[in-house]
Amino acid sequence: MKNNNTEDSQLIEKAKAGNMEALNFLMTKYYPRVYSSLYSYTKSKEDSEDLAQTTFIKAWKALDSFRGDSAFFTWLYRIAINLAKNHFQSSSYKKQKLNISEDERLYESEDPQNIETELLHEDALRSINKFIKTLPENLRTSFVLREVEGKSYEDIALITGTPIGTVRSRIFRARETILKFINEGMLNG
Amino acid sequence: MDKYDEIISSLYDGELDNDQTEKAMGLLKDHKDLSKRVAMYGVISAAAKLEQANVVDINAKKSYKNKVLWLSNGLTAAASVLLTVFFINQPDFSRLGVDRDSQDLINLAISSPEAQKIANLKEDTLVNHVLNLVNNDSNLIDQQPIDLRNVGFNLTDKSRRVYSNGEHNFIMQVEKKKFNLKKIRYWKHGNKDIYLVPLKDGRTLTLYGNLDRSTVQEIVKNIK
Repeated sequence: MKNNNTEDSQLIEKAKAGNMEALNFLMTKYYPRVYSSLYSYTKSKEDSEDLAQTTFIKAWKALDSFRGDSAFFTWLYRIAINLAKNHFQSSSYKKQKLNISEDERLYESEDPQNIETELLHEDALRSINKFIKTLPENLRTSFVLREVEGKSYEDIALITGTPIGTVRSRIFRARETILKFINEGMLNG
Repeated sequence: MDKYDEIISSLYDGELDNDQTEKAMGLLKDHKDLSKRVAMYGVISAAAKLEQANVVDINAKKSYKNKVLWLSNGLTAAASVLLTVFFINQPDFSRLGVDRDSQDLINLAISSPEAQKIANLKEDTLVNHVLNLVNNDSNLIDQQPIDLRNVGFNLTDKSRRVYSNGEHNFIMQVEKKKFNLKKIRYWKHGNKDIYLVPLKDGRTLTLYGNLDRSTVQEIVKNIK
Protein backbone atom coordinates (compact mmCIF):
# COMPACT_ATOMS: atom_id res chain seq x y z
CA MET A 1 0.00 0.00 0.00
CA LYS A 2 1.19 3.44 -0.85
CA ASN A 3 1.02 5.71 2.15
CA ASN A 4 1.70 9.37 2.71
CA ASN A 5 5.37 8.68 3.37
CA THR A 6 5.91 7.34 -0.13
CA GLU A 7 3.34 9.50 -1.89
CA ASP A 8 5.84 12.28 -2.46
CA SER A 9 9.04 10.27 -2.33
CA GLN A 10 9.88 10.62 -6.03
CA LEU A 11 9.39 14.35 -6.03
CA ILE A 12 11.29 14.74 -2.77
CA GLU A 13 14.25 12.87 -4.18
CA LYS A 14 14.16 15.03 -7.30
CA ALA A 15 13.91 18.18 -5.19
CA LYS A 16 16.85 17.02 -3.08
CA ALA A 17 18.82 16.57 -6.29
CA GLY A 18 18.15 20.21 -7.15
CA ASN A 19 15.12 19.84 -9.41
CA MET A 20 13.34 23.14 -8.85
CA GLU A 21 10.21 22.03 -10.70
CA ALA A 22 9.78 19.21 -8.22
CA LEU A 23 10.38 21.55 -5.31
CA ASN A 24 7.88 24.07 -6.67
CA PHE A 25 5.33 21.34 -7.15
CA LEU A 26 5.65 20.19 -3.53
CA MET A 27 5.42 23.73 -2.22
CA THR A 28 2.40 24.50 -4.40
CA LYS A 29 0.75 21.27 -3.32
CA TYR A 30 1.19 21.83 0.40
CA TYR A 31 0.97 25.61 0.68
CA PRO A 32 -2.83 25.61 1.05
CA ARG A 33 -2.81 23.11 3.91
CA VAL A 34 0.08 24.78 5.71
CA TYR A 35 -1.49 28.20 5.27
CA SER A 36 -4.93 27.00 6.30
CA SER A 37 -3.62 25.36 9.46
CA LEU A 38 -1.58 28.43 10.37
CA TYR A 39 -4.57 30.66 9.75
CA SER A 40 -6.73 28.58 12.06
CA TYR A 41 -4.18 29.34 14.77
CA THR A 42 -3.20 32.93 14.05
CA LYS A 43 -6.50 34.17 12.59
CA SER A 44 -4.35 36.57 10.66
CA LYS A 45 -3.94 36.47 6.92
CA GLU A 46 -0.72 38.45 7.08
CA ASP A 47 0.88 36.30 9.80
CA SER A 48 -0.20 33.08 8.11
CA GLU A 49 1.26 34.15 4.79
CA ASP A 50 4.55 35.22 6.38
CA LEU A 51 4.79 32.07 8.46
CA ALA A 52 3.87 29.79 5.54
CA GLN A 53 6.49 31.44 3.37
CA THR A 54 9.13 31.10 6.09
CA THR A 55 8.08 27.48 6.59
CA PHE A 56 8.81 26.66 2.97
CA ILE A 57 12.11 28.52 2.96
CA LYS A 58 13.20 26.58 6.04
CA ALA A 59 11.92 23.34 4.53
CA TRP A 60 13.85 23.99 1.34
CA LYS A 61 17.07 24.64 3.28
CA ALA A 62 16.56 21.56 5.45
CA LEU A 63 15.24 19.25 2.76
CA ASP A 64 18.31 17.01 2.93
CA SER A 65 17.49 16.25 6.55
CA PHE A 66 14.05 14.90 5.63
CA ARG A 67 14.44 11.14 5.86
CA GLY A 68 10.88 10.14 5.12
CA ASP A 69 10.18 8.77 8.61
CA SER A 70 6.96 10.75 8.60
CA ALA A 71 4.74 12.09 5.87
CA PHE A 72 6.17 15.12 4.12
CA PHE A 73 3.27 17.23 5.28
CA THR A 74 3.82 16.20 8.91
CA TRP A 75 7.42 17.33 8.58
CA LEU A 76 6.35 20.62 7.02
CA TYR A 77 3.77 21.12 9.69
CA ARG A 78 6.27 20.57 12.46
CA ILE A 79 8.36 23.38 11.01
CA ALA A 80 5.28 25.59 10.73
CA ILE A 81 4.25 24.94 14.33
CA ASN A 82 7.67 25.75 15.69
CA LEU A 83 7.82 28.93 13.66
CA ALA A 84 4.38 29.97 14.82
CA LYS A 85 5.25 29.29 18.44
CA ASN A 86 8.54 31.17 18.21
CA HIS A 87 6.89 34.03 16.40
CA PHE A 88 4.30 34.52 19.08
CA GLN A 89 6.53 33.82 22.02
CA SER A 90 9.32 36.09 20.99
CA SER A 91 7.44 39.35 21.03
CA SER A 92 4.78 41.29 22.83
CA TYR A 93 3.01 41.21 19.49
CA LYS A 94 1.77 37.79 20.53
CA LYS A 95 -0.59 39.06 23.17
CA GLN A 96 -1.92 41.81 20.98
CA LYS A 97 -2.59 39.34 18.19
CA LEU A 98 -4.18 36.63 20.30
CA ASN A 99 -6.45 39.15 21.93
CA ILE A 100 -7.46 40.79 18.68
CA SER A 101 -11.21 41.22 18.39
CA GLU A 102 -13.31 39.24 15.95
CA ASP A 103 -14.17 42.43 14.04
CA GLU A 104 -10.52 43.21 13.56
CA ARG A 105 -9.87 39.68 12.34
CA LEU A 106 -12.60 40.00 9.74
CA TYR A 107 -11.20 43.30 8.63
CA GLU A 108 -7.73 41.84 8.42
CA SER A 109 -8.86 38.94 6.29
CA GLU A 110 -10.15 41.20 3.56
CA ASP A 111 -8.26 42.12 0.42
CA PRO A 112 -6.81 38.72 -0.43
CA GLN A 113 -3.86 38.70 -2.77
CA ASN A 114 -4.98 35.67 -4.71
CA ILE A 115 -7.89 33.33 -5.14
CA GLU A 116 -6.27 30.44 -3.28
CA THR A 117 -5.72 32.55 -0.19
CA GLU A 118 -9.29 33.77 -0.29
CA LEU A 119 -10.53 30.21 -0.51
CA LEU A 120 -8.45 29.10 2.43
CA HIS A 121 -10.53 30.82 5.05
CA GLU A 122 -12.86 28.71 7.05
CA ASP A 123 -16.21 29.64 5.55
CA ALA A 124 -14.99 28.97 2.03
CA LEU A 125 -13.41 25.67 3.02
CA ARG A 126 -16.64 24.64 4.73
CA SER A 127 -18.63 25.45 1.61
CA ILE A 128 -16.29 23.29 -0.47
CA ASN A 129 -16.44 20.54 2.13
CA LYS A 130 -20.23 20.68 2.04
CA PHE A 131 -20.20 20.47 -1.72
CA ILE A 132 -17.95 17.39 -1.61
CA LYS A 133 -20.75 15.60 0.24
CA THR A 134 -23.06 16.21 -2.70
CA LEU A 135 -20.78 14.58 -5.27
CA PRO A 136 -22.18 11.51 -7.04
CA GLU A 137 -21.57 8.47 -4.85
CA ASN A 138 -19.01 6.78 -7.10
CA LEU A 139 -16.91 9.94 -7.41
CA ARG A 140 -17.26 10.80 -3.74
CA THR A 141 -16.19 7.35 -2.53
CA SER A 142 -12.97 7.29 -4.54
CA PHE A 143 -12.22 10.92 -3.76
CA VAL A 144 -12.77 10.58 0.00
CA LEU A 145 -10.78 7.35 0.17
CA ARG A 146 -7.92 9.18 -1.49
CA GLU A 147 -8.07 12.62 0.13
CA VAL A 148 -9.37 11.84 3.59
CA GLU A 149 -8.26 8.26 4.15
CA GLY A 150 -5.00 8.63 2.22
CA LYS A 151 -5.50 5.37 0.31
CA SER A 152 -3.52 4.60 -2.82
CA TYR A 153 -5.27 4.12 -6.14
CA GLU A 154 -4.49 0.41 -5.87
CA ASP A 155 -6.17 0.13 -2.48
CA ILE A 156 -9.17 2.13 -3.67
CA ALA A 157 -9.48 -0.18 -6.66
CA LEU A 158 -9.53 -3.17 -4.30
CA ILE A 159 -12.02 -1.56 -1.94
CA THR A 160 -14.42 -0.43 -4.65
CA GLY A 161 -13.88 -3.39 -6.97
CA THR A 162 -13.05 -1.19 -9.95
CA PRO A 163 -9.99 -1.01 -12.23
CA ILE A 164 -7.22 1.43 -11.25
CA GLY A 165 -7.87 3.43 -14.41
CA THR A 166 -11.44 4.00 -13.29
CA VAL A 167 -10.28 5.09 -9.84
CA ARG A 168 -7.83 7.53 -11.43
CA SER A 169 -10.55 8.92 -13.65
CA ARG A 170 -13.10 9.21 -10.83
CA ILE A 171 -10.73 11.10 -8.56
CA PHE A 172 -9.86 13.44 -11.40
CA ARG A 173 -13.54 13.97 -12.25
CA ALA A 174 -14.35 14.61 -8.61
CA ARG A 175 -11.66 17.31 -8.52
CA GLU A 176 -12.92 18.83 -11.76
CA THR A 177 -16.48 18.91 -10.42
CA ILE A 178 -15.31 20.63 -7.24
CA LEU A 179 -13.24 23.11 -9.24
CA LYS A 180 -16.30 23.89 -11.34
CA PHE A 181 -18.28 24.53 -8.16
CA ILE A 182 -15.55 26.84 -6.87
CA ASN A 183 -15.27 28.76 -10.13
CA GLU A 184 -18.97 29.06 -10.84
CA GLY A 185 -20.59 28.77 -7.46
CA MET A 186 -18.15 30.59 -5.21
CA LEU A 187 -15.91 32.92 -7.14
CA ASN A 188 -18.56 34.14 -9.56
CA GLY A 189 -21.53 33.52 -7.34
CA MET B 1 -5.97 19.69 -22.04
CA ASP B 2 -8.17 17.42 -19.93
CA LYS B 3 -5.63 14.66 -20.46
CA TYR B 4 -2.90 16.88 -19.04
CA ASP B 5 -5.13 17.76 -16.12
CA GLU B 6 -5.71 14.10 -15.34
CA ILE B 7 -1.95 13.48 -15.39
CA ILE B 8 -1.46 16.37 -12.96
CA SER B 9 -4.18 14.91 -10.74
CA SER B 10 -2.27 11.61 -10.66
CA LEU B 11 1.03 13.42 -10.07
CA TYR B 12 -0.61 15.25 -7.18
CA ASP B 13 -1.49 11.88 -5.67
CA GLY B 14 1.99 10.49 -6.24
CA GLU B 15 0.57 7.81 -8.50
CA LEU B 16 2.92 8.15 -11.50
CA ASP B 17 6.04 6.09 -12.10
CA ASN B 18 9.39 7.77 -12.59
CA ASP B 19 9.10 8.25 -16.36
CA GLN B 20 5.56 9.54 -16.10
CA THR B 21 6.64 11.89 -13.31
CA GLU B 22 9.41 13.30 -15.51
CA LYS B 23 6.92 13.87 -18.32
CA ALA B 24 4.44 15.48 -15.95
CA MET B 25 7.15 17.81 -14.64
CA GLY B 26 7.83 18.77 -18.24
CA LEU B 27 4.16 19.56 -18.72
CA LEU B 28 4.20 21.79 -15.67
CA LYS B 29 7.18 23.63 -17.05
CA ASP B 30 5.54 24.16 -20.45
CA HIS B 31 2.03 24.94 -19.23
CA LYS B 32 2.17 27.43 -16.39
CA ASP B 33 -1.59 27.30 -15.88
CA LEU B 34 -1.21 23.72 -14.69
CA SER B 35 0.58 24.99 -11.58
CA LYS B 36 -2.53 26.99 -10.78
CA ARG B 37 -4.45 23.73 -10.93
CA VAL B 38 -2.05 22.13 -8.44
CA ALA B 39 -2.67 25.04 -6.08
CA MET B 40 -6.42 24.58 -6.42
CA TYR B 41 -6.08 20.86 -5.76
CA GLY B 42 -4.28 21.90 -2.58
CA VAL B 43 -7.23 24.05 -1.59
CA ILE B 44 -9.57 21.12 -2.23
CA SER B 45 -7.38 18.87 -0.06
CA ALA B 46 -7.53 21.41 2.76
CA ALA B 47 -11.33 21.50 2.47
CA ALA B 48 -11.68 17.72 2.26
CA LYS B 49 -9.62 17.27 5.42
CA LEU B 50 -11.60 19.80 7.46
CA GLU B 51 -13.61 17.14 9.23
CA GLN B 52 -10.60 15.16 10.33
CA ALA B 53 -10.61 17.57 13.22
CA ASN B 54 -12.77 15.59 15.60
CA VAL B 55 -12.03 17.90 18.45
CA VAL B 56 -14.59 20.41 19.54
CA ASP B 57 -14.45 23.61 21.47
CA ILE B 58 -15.20 23.11 25.12
CA ASN B 59 -17.38 26.20 25.04
CA ALA B 60 -19.86 24.19 22.98
CA LYS B 61 -20.13 21.58 25.67
CA LYS B 62 -23.11 21.22 27.95
CA SER B 63 -23.31 23.46 30.95
CA TYR B 64 -23.65 22.22 34.45
CA LYS B 65 -27.09 23.77 34.77
CA ASN B 66 -30.02 21.48 35.42
CA LYS B 67 -27.80 18.89 37.04
CA VAL B 68 -29.44 17.23 39.97
CA LEU B 69 -27.70 18.10 43.15
CA TRP B 70 -26.30 14.86 44.40
CA LEU B 71 -24.77 14.19 47.73
CA SER B 72 -23.46 10.79 48.58
CA ASN B 73 -24.42 9.33 51.91
CA GLY B 74 -20.84 8.32 52.22
CA LEU B 75 -19.65 11.81 51.66
CA THR B 76 -18.26 12.48 55.05
CA ALA B 77 -14.91 13.68 56.11
CA ALA B 78 -14.10 10.19 57.31
CA ALA B 79 -15.07 8.54 54.05
CA SER B 80 -13.40 11.01 51.78
CA VAL B 81 -10.18 9.99 50.17
CA LEU B 82 -7.12 11.16 51.97
CA LEU B 83 -4.92 12.85 49.46
CA THR B 84 -1.59 14.46 50.00
CA VAL B 85 -0.51 17.05 47.55
CA PHE B 86 3.10 16.74 46.62
CA PHE B 87 4.79 20.08 46.09
CA ILE B 88 8.13 19.88 44.43
CA ASN B 89 9.68 22.88 42.74
CA GLN B 90 6.42 24.63 43.28
CA PRO B 91 6.70 26.16 46.72
CA ASP B 92 4.78 29.27 45.85
CA PHE B 93 1.49 28.38 44.27
CA SER B 94 0.63 32.01 43.59
CA ARG B 95 3.52 32.18 41.12
CA LEU B 96 2.19 29.29 39.10
CA GLY B 97 2.15 30.28 35.45
CA VAL B 98 0.47 28.93 32.39
CA ASP B 99 2.38 25.95 31.01
CA ARG B 100 3.34 27.81 27.88
CA ASP B 101 4.81 25.14 25.62
CA SER B 102 2.06 22.64 26.23
CA GLN B 103 -0.51 25.44 26.15
CA ASP B 104 0.53 26.33 22.63
CA LEU B 105 0.53 22.71 21.57
CA ILE B 106 -2.95 22.25 22.95
CA ASN B 107 -4.28 25.42 21.35
CA LEU B 108 -2.88 24.29 18.04
CA ALA B 109 -4.19 20.80 18.49
CA ILE B 110 -7.67 22.08 19.17
CA SER B 111 -7.67 24.09 15.98
CA SER B 112 -6.03 21.63 13.62
CA PRO B 113 -5.97 17.88 13.11
CA GLU B 114 -2.42 18.01 11.82
CA ALA B 115 -1.26 19.89 14.85
CA GLN B 116 -3.09 17.42 17.03
CA LYS B 117 -0.92 14.65 15.62
CA ILE B 118 2.21 16.67 16.28
CA ALA B 119 1.07 17.56 19.78
CA ASN B 120 0.39 13.94 20.52
CA LEU B 121 3.93 13.09 19.57
CA LYS B 122 5.41 15.89 21.59
CA GLU B 123 4.09 15.26 25.08
CA ASP B 124 2.26 12.10 24.49
CA THR B 125 0.26 11.17 27.57
CA LEU B 126 0.04 14.63 29.06
CA VAL B 127 -1.28 16.40 25.99
CA ASN B 128 -3.61 13.52 25.22
CA HIS B 129 -5.00 13.72 28.71
CA VAL B 130 -5.67 17.44 28.42
CA LEU B 131 -7.21 17.04 24.97
CA ASN B 132 -9.47 14.31 26.27
CA LEU B 133 -10.61 16.60 29.05
CA VAL B 134 -11.24 19.43 26.62
CA ASN B 135 -13.20 17.10 24.38
CA ASN B 136 -15.07 15.59 27.30
CA ASP B 137 -13.76 12.17 26.24
CA SER B 138 -12.00 11.45 29.47
CA ASN B 139 -12.80 8.04 30.91
CA LEU B 140 -15.02 8.22 33.93
CA ILE B 141 -13.10 7.03 36.88
CA ASP B 142 -14.81 5.14 39.61
CA GLN B 143 -13.40 6.94 42.57
CA GLN B 144 -14.31 7.64 46.11
CA PRO B 145 -15.72 11.15 46.37
CA ILE B 146 -13.49 13.82 47.80
CA ASP B 147 -15.16 16.00 50.36
CA LEU B 148 -14.85 19.66 49.50
CA ARG B 149 -17.78 20.93 51.51
CA ASN B 150 -15.57 22.82 53.93
CA VAL B 151 -14.37 24.94 51.02
CA GLY B 152 -17.92 25.40 49.78
CA PHE B 153 -18.12 22.87 46.97
CA ASN B 154 -20.65 20.08 46.57
CA LEU B 155 -20.71 17.18 44.18
CA THR B 156 -23.33 17.77 41.53
CA ASP B 157 -23.54 14.52 39.63
CA LYS B 158 -23.38 10.80 40.03
CA SER B 159 -20.05 10.47 38.30
CA ARG B 160 -18.59 11.75 41.56
CA ARG B 161 -16.33 14.20 39.88
CA VAL B 162 -18.30 17.38 39.07
CA TYR B 163 -18.25 19.99 41.81
CA SER B 164 -19.96 23.33 42.10
CA ASN B 165 -20.39 26.16 44.57
CA GLY B 166 -22.88 27.95 42.34
CA GLU B 167 -20.25 30.23 40.91
CA HIS B 168 -17.40 27.89 40.04
CA ASN B 169 -17.96 24.52 38.40
CA PHE B 170 -15.23 22.02 37.86
CA ILE B 171 -14.31 18.41 37.40
CA MET B 172 -11.90 16.84 39.86
CA GLN B 173 -10.58 13.34 39.61
CA VAL B 174 -7.58 11.25 40.56
CA GLU B 175 -5.97 9.78 37.48
CA LYS B 176 -5.06 6.15 37.18
CA LYS B 177 -2.46 6.97 34.59
CA LYS B 178 1.00 7.90 35.82
CA PHE B 179 2.17 11.24 34.55
CA ASN B 180 5.33 11.43 36.68
CA LEU B 181 4.77 15.08 37.38
CA LYS B 182 7.27 16.92 39.50
CA LYS B 183 5.27 20.08 39.78
CA ILE B 184 1.80 21.39 39.19
CA ARG B 185 1.01 21.93 35.52
CA TYR B 186 -1.53 24.50 34.42
CA TRP B 187 -3.23 25.30 31.11
CA LYS B 188 -6.01 27.54 29.92
CA HIS B 189 -8.63 26.91 27.31
CA GLY B 190 -11.26 29.58 26.71
CA ASN B 191 -12.64 30.56 30.09
CA LYS B 192 -11.65 27.26 31.68
CA ASP B 193 -8.49 26.14 33.37
CA ILE B 194 -6.84 22.76 33.67
CA TYR B 195 -4.63 21.93 36.62
CA LEU B 196 -2.70 18.72 37.07
CA VAL B 197 -1.50 18.34 40.64
CA PRO B 198 1.01 15.64 41.62
CA LEU B 199 0.09 13.61 44.70
CA LYS B 200 2.51 12.10 47.12
CA ASP B 201 1.71 8.55 46.08
CA GLY B 202 2.69 9.32 42.48
CA ARG B 203 -0.84 9.73 41.22
CA THR B 204 -2.15 12.92 39.68
CA LEU B 205 -5.14 15.03 40.55
CA THR B 206 -6.94 16.75 37.69
CA LEU B 207 -9.02 19.89 38.16
CA TYR B 208 -10.80 21.31 35.14
CA GLY B 209 -13.32 24.10 34.99
CA ASN B 210 -13.82 27.78 35.56
CA LEU B 211 -11.48 27.98 38.50
CA ASP B 212 -9.19 30.79 39.46
CA ARG B 213 -5.89 30.00 41.06
CA SER B 214 -6.86 31.18 44.53
CA THR B 215 -9.80 28.77 44.49
CA VAL B 216 -7.56 25.96 43.34
CA GLN B 217 -5.09 26.84 46.05
CA GLU B 218 -7.86 26.63 48.62
CA ILE B 219 -9.04 23.26 47.30
CA VAL B 220 -5.55 21.86 47.16
CA LYS B 221 -4.81 22.99 50.72
CA ASN B 222 -8.01 21.36 51.85
CA ILE B 223 -7.16 17.95 50.49
CA LYS B 224 -3.57 18.11 51.64
